Amino acid sequence: MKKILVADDDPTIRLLVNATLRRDSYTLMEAVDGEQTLEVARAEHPDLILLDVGMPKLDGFEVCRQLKSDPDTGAIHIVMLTARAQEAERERGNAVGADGYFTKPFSPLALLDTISDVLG
Amino acid sequence: MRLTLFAQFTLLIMLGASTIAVVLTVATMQYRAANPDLGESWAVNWVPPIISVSLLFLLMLPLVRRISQLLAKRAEENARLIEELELSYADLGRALEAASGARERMTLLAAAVEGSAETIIISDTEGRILYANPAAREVYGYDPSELTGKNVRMFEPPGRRPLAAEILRSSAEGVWHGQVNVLRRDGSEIPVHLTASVVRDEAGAASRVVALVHDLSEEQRRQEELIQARSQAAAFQRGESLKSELISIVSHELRTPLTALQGFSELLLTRDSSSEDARLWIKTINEEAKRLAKILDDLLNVSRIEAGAIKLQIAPTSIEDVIQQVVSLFAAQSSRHHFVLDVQEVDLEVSADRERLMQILDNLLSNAVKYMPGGGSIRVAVSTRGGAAVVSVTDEGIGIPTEELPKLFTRFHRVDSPDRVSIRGTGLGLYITQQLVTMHGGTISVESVVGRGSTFTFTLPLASSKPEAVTGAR
Repeated sequence: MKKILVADDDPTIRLLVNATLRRDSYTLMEAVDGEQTLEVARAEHPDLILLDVGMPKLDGFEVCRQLKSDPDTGAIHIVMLTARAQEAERERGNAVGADGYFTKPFSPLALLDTISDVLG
Repeated sequence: MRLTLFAQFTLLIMLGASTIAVVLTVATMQYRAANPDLGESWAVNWVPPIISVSLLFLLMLPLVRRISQLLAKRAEENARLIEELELSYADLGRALEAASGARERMTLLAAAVEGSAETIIISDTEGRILYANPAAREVYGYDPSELTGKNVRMFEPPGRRPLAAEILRSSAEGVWHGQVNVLRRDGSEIPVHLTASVVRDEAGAASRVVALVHDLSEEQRRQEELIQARSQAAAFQRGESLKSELISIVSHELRTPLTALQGFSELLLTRDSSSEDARLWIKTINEEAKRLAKILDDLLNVSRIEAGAIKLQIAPTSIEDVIQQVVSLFAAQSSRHHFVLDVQEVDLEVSADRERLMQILDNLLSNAVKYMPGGGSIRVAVSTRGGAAVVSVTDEGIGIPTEELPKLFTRFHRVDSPDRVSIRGTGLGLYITQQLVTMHGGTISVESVVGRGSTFTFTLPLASSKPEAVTGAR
C-alpha cells in the first residue's frame, strides 16, 4: 500500500483530504507543522506528501527543498497545497522541486487524479 | 615801487652822466677857445664823448647787474609758480577722477537698492522710515513714497506681541534676524523673514537701520501643501497597507473555509457515503460557512472602523440582560464549556449601543471558548468602579505569553505558538473589540498566565440613573 503524508495545520483540510483519499487503498499519515512533516517523512519515507505551504515553524517550500535535496528523502513525491494564488508561488514550488501544485479551494476529485498520476 | 626806484636811479645815473658829458664838453670848448692852436685835434674831439660814454657804461654796470638779478629772480619765481600750477593741476585731476568714481558707485548702489527684488527699508534708530525701495509695495501693499516718514510700528499686526522696538534695539547692537508677521495695507497678515542691521555714522554712532524683508507667504503655502501632501500620502499608505493586509487575509483565511465548502460538497455529490460521513461533512460545511460569514463581518467592521463609519446608538442598556443573552447562545453551542455569571449589582445600566455591546461580549466569549479547546469554565463578572461598569471575562484556557500582551489588540496580530497551530483567526477580533470599547468611552485590558487562563476586563460608562428613560429610548 502506498503511504501518503497529509501535512496541513488546519484540521478541516486534513479531514477533507482524508475523506477524499480514504476509499482508495492508501496508508494515511498526518503532520500539523513543517518540523513534524520533516520528522515523519524521514522516519516513514512516504511515497507522497500533500504539503501545505503556509504552515507554522517551517513553511512548505522549505520543507520541500530540504526533503528534495536530501538523497534519503529526495525520491518522495511532493504535491503542494497553497492558499496563495499568485503565479510567483507556483514558480517557487517548481523551483524547490514539487511534483504538483494545488491552489485552495481545490476539487478533491482532481486531487485524487493528480495523486494517481504522480504515484503511477 | 622797486621799478620806480629803479627808474629814479636810472634817471639819476643818466642825469649824472649827462652832467659830466656837458661839463666835459664845456671844459673842452673852453680849453679850445683858450688854445686856438690845437686845431682839429683827434684827442680834443673824441676824449670827452669817450669818457662820457665810458662813465655812463661804468655807472650803468651795477644797474645792468641789478636788472639781470631781478630778471633771474623773476624767472625763478615764474618757474616755481608754473611748478605749483602743475602740481595743483594734477591734484585737481585726481580729485576729479575720485569724484567721478564715487558718483559711479553711488549710482550703482542706488540702482541696486531700487531694483532689488528684496524689500529694503531704511529707517532711523527710532523706526521712522527714510527710504523704502519699490519692492516694498509687494510685501506691504503701500507705495514706497507713502511709507517715507511713517514709523515701522505701523507694520505690527494687532493682537500680536509688538516686536518693532525690540528689533530696532537689537539691530542697533548688531544684526537682528528672524521671522515676523507683518500687517499689509489691506489688513491681511503675512509672514516675512527680516534681517535688520545698523548703519553707523562717521563718529561710529548708530544712525540708521537697514531692514531686508523677505516674503515667506509663498514658502509657507508650499510648506503647508507639502505637509498636506505628506499626510495624504501617509493616509494613502495606511490605506494601501490595510488593503494589502486585507488581500492577504482574504487570500489566505477565506480560502480554507471555501476549500471545505467546495471539497465536502463535491464529495457529497459524487460519492455514496455513509450517513455518518455525510452528516459530519454537512456539519463541517455548515461550520465553515459560519466561519466565512464571521470573517466577512470582521473585515467589514475593520474597514468601517478605519473609515470612521461606525455610529453608535447610545442608550441606557441593562448589562445583565445583554450578558445573559450572549451567554445563552454560547451555552447552547458547546457542552464542554460552562458559564458562570457573577453580577454584583442588579439592574445595572450602562450607556451603550446594545448591538455593539453584544458584539464585544461575543468576541471575548468566542476567544475564551476558542483558546480553551479542552473545555472548562468561563466566568463573566460585573461590578462598578467610579462612574463605570467593569465587565470581565475569565477563562481557564491556554493563556497568553507576557511578551505578546502589548501587541494583543493590534490589527491582524496573532500569537504564534505550537499550542495554537490549529486555532484559526484573522487577528481582527480583539482589535475590533478594543475599538468598540474605546468608542463607548471605555477601556479594555488583559491579564494572563500561560497554562492557567486569561482575563479580559473592559469598562463602560454607567447610564444616568433614570430608569424610565431607558424603556422609552429603546
